[in-house]
Amino acid sequence: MNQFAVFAGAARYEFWMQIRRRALWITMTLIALLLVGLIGRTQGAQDTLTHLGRFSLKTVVVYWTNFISYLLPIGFGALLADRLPRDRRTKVEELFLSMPGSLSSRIFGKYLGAGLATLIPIFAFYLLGVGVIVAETHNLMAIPLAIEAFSAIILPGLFFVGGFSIACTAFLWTPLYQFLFAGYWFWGNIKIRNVPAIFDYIPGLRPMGSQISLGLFGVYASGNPLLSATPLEGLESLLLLVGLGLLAVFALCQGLKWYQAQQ
Amino acid sequence: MQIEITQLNKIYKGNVHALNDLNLKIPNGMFGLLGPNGAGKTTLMRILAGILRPTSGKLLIGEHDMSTDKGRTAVQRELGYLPQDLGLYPDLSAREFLDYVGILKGLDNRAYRQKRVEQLLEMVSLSDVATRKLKTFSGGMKRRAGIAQALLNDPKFLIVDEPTAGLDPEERIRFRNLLSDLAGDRTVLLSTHIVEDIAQTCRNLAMMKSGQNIFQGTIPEMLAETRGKVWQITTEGPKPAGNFTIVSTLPLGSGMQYRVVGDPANRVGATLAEPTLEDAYVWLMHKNEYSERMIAR
Repeated sequence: MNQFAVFAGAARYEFWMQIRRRALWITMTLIALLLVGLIGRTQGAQDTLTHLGRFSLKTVVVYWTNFISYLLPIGFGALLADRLPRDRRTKVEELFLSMPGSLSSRIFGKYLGAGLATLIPIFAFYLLGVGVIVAETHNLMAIPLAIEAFSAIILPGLFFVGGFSIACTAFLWTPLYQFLFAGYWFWGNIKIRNVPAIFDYIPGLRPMGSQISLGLFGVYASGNPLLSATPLEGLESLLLLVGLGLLAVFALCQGLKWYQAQQ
Repeated sequence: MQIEITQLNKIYKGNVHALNDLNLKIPNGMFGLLGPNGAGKTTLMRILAGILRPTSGKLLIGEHDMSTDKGRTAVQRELGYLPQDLGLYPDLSAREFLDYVGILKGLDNRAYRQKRVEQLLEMVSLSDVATRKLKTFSGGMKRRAGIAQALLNDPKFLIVDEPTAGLDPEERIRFRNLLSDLAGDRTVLLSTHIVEDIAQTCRNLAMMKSGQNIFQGTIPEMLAETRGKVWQITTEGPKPAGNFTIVSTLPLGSGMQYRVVGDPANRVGATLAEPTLEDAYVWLMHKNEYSERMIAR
């Protein structure tokens, strides 16, 4: 049996089911509006916007990328969190377990398909900002640079967040996970006075991508105490985030297989 | 595809014995599995479908040993399963859902898969609503979509667990006819607690109680075993009492006619009646209790 076909099929249908969700578009629009509101209230953002010409194109594009990465991944994680419990809720799990398509192929397909669908509104909003930058700077080079920055700064964090959102809800009640996840997002990214944070111990583990931003693009992300990072540290953070996200899904598959065998 | 179950046990957490040394041989064709709720039917179905692992015992489906991963996967390739609580993605259309299931069942050739989906939609009379979301379907339509998904891979072994539960009489008849048509050279295992469904579709059947097989044979054999145990008692007095179960009560002009299964001690006004499958079910379910009561007397 071709397990790649199962993976691709699961990815395709999970994509369609997620992209048609009204909650996806409503949640992302609300977060995007919140971000727009934040831009209006953040001095740095206003300066950058009103004096686009004074900054290098790279700085402007990466600044915008970091801004996107500030809140929208919370929506990404929250919207992926119910994908696995939904199989239990709708009772398709029992049906699918009676089929020869492997559990791992299906779960990885779900991760990729639902993840890609959830990424689309984020990317659309991101492109809107890139459009403004192109219009203001008259420099089309902003487009490839934006794609590069999006892939390097935002995607690894989403891999990480998506992996844990799919995996943790196998044993955590979804609303509780979503609440804890939102708390983790700020604790894991932004230094709050003397509160010890996870990145105090593992500097690369900033899912917002601030170490990648500073290490690979040399652009500082606001709200972050990180003052310096080498390109190697940026790359290390990128690989760590992607690797941990994939590892979480892999561990989920093994855990579910073990659980099924114990039933 | 023949199925051989030998001393099968399933113990859930908390020492709940769902199957107790179950022995059963299931031949080709339609086979009915009768039993009350909690008899272990659904556990057996789930083990046969490779969803649950038995605690001990041997299970051979065709030539495949279900205690191995290889055996389970081989059986699942040739299996169609319609569970009791049928799960569907409510936001997919019937066509999309069937296509997805086809992929998970290993129908890799897209053209063949699509052709098969259309054939089955036609067969279960859902072609006209194939693009409608499943959440808009009635219970009967969902069941038909369920049987269509079970048949996608043209299975040699089909498991249907309580397929007519919750359907109106017309849908039930339609569904039963569909199942009978499907039997052919397949093994179709129909699990239910609705005696009528078995009577109308199966020649061979088994009865389960407390995780054990308490009867296996044909419907005529089941009826023969019950002959001489079914009585009709007509009385104008109080409700008869004794070592039996009242299966029906019919008001007559001045009195009542009771149909009982068991052994009425007072046979005044009692006449032997020809057993139905429902009577036979009641007799087989309770015959040990009747015997124990007789010994106690």
